Amino acid sequence: MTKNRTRRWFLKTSAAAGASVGLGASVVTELLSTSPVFGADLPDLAAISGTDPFTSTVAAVDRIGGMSRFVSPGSRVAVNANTSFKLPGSNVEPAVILATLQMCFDAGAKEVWLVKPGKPGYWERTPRFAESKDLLAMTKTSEQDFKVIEVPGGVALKEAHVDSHVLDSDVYLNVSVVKDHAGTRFTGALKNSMGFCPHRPTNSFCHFGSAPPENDKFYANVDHLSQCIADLNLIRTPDLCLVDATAYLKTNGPAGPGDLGRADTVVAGTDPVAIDAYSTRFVDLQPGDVMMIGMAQKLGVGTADLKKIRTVEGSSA
Amino acid sequence: MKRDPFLAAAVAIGTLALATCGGPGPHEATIADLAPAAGEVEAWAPVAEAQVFEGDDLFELINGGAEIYHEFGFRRALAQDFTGPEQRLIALEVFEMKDTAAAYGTYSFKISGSGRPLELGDEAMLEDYYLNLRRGPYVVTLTGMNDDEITMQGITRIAGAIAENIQIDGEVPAVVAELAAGDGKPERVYYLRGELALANVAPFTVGMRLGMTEGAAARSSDRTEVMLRYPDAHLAQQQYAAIVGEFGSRAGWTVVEEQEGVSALLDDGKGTHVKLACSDDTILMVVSES
Repeated sequence: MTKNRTRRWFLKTSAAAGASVGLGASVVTELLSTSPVFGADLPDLAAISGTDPFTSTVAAVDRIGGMSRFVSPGSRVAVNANTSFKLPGSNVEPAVILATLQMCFDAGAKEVWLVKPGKPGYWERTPRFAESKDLLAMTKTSEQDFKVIEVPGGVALKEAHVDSHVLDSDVYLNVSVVKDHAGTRFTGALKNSMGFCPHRPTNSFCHFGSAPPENDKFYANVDHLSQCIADLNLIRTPDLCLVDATAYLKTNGPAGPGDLGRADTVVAGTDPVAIDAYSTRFVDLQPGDVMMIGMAQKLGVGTADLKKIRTVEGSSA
Repeated sequence: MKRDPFLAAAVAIGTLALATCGGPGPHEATIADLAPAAGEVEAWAPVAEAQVFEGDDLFELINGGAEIYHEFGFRRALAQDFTGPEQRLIALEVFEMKDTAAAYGTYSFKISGSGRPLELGDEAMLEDYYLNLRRGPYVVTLTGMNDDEITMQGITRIAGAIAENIQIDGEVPAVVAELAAGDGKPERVYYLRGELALANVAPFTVGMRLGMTEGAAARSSDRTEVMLRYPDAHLAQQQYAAIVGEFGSRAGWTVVEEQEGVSALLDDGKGTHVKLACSDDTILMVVSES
């Protein structure tokens, strides 16, 4: 039932998106006809390319079973999306989040909470903004109420302040943008977990450790930061991860400005380690180049061995 | 005869005199005075009040991007948007660094290396949709939300106004001048103040505690040369021994040749070769791939 509703909505919105970017109805039909049958042997990861991020997001989720695989009617959903930055290629493309929100409501979610609001002007960047005002009005934004919890099995991070919606929601979605990072070299799903913590005291501990600044100089430590990120992923594993690789920073990340990469791809999966391992290709790295990926794998968060997961790649255009 | 980059740089260490980097000096204006006021740049006007971020609050402006600024030595930043013809938008960020060398270092990492140099400030580089400029202890970044002609003209004009407002010049850090003094022109030159910056030019150093006071890196098509400076020869020697030991303990790395306390050739087994040497208060590292 829910699945049918999702597909009806998808057909409607995809047709609208197709019209705006010059896609034909046959593309939408092809996408639907190749979507997996619900309950069948689903891939672990789907990477869908296309010129419309909204359509690609829906298609990527559909390929791994559709949002109703993750969101049950009446459930409460927390969406941790990277909207903390301002410059081109540093944030998740707004249309990727709009598609995620719409799919959650369409699957019957009772409440959908954004862990962080977009910076001023963020939503206006997408041509879909005007038609999405009702959707955004239905979506709640976290009051930034943090609970202090012990990090189970944390190696460097033993305690963290965590947004209460991430802890208390029925479903937790992690929506990140792939990009360069001056410290960890790469940021994707694993690092996006820092988005559910406040800067002080949790993220500042991850960035600089517990030592106070010496002579007003802070000491960044990539291995400590990487371990803290791996530890954060022990708190709550996402039910679904989406990585936006439509347009992103290939240099000078995470804030930019820098060289922009454009893969016009959205990746969906359930394993944050695997989805990051897969996504390193967008910034010309290998999984082994990124310390936090190996550390998270060691903690049992997921696997970086892409031979062990089933991946589908396709196109929405 | 082909230049031996290792020998040339090692000679440079011993022969070039050290010069001190310029200190911050008295600032002619506060950071809040640097952004052009309404009417100062034709057709472009500030949007709302400028925001100023001090110390650790830089994370509020650029989140995890703040780390490398702090490593170089960050004082405060100003953020201000400008609107222009046809509702074009430009984001201005001005970073006041601890001293002129810190500004040089930050700038050296922010430019792409393929931009167009402009005669503004101490130096400026116009990229596809943004511009970086340094003058004195300040690094200025202007980013267009579009990359069309209207926006790029606005970026250049606003940059020109800020460069004039700063009124304090910087200089190239001595260690950078030393490293760049060898034969040939490197594609990129960087100034370093810590391990985070170094990891961006020599990623295999992540996790090493190098403890240098400052350093420089020069990247060419076939190699990267890194010069790390220590407070004295004893500390440099200690650190040199620790680095060779660290490489020797890493999986895959082997010490191919070693003249104890003087030089070593290391190999990661995957085509990366690192030649290390220690002379006086300096460690030199030459990285090449095969």
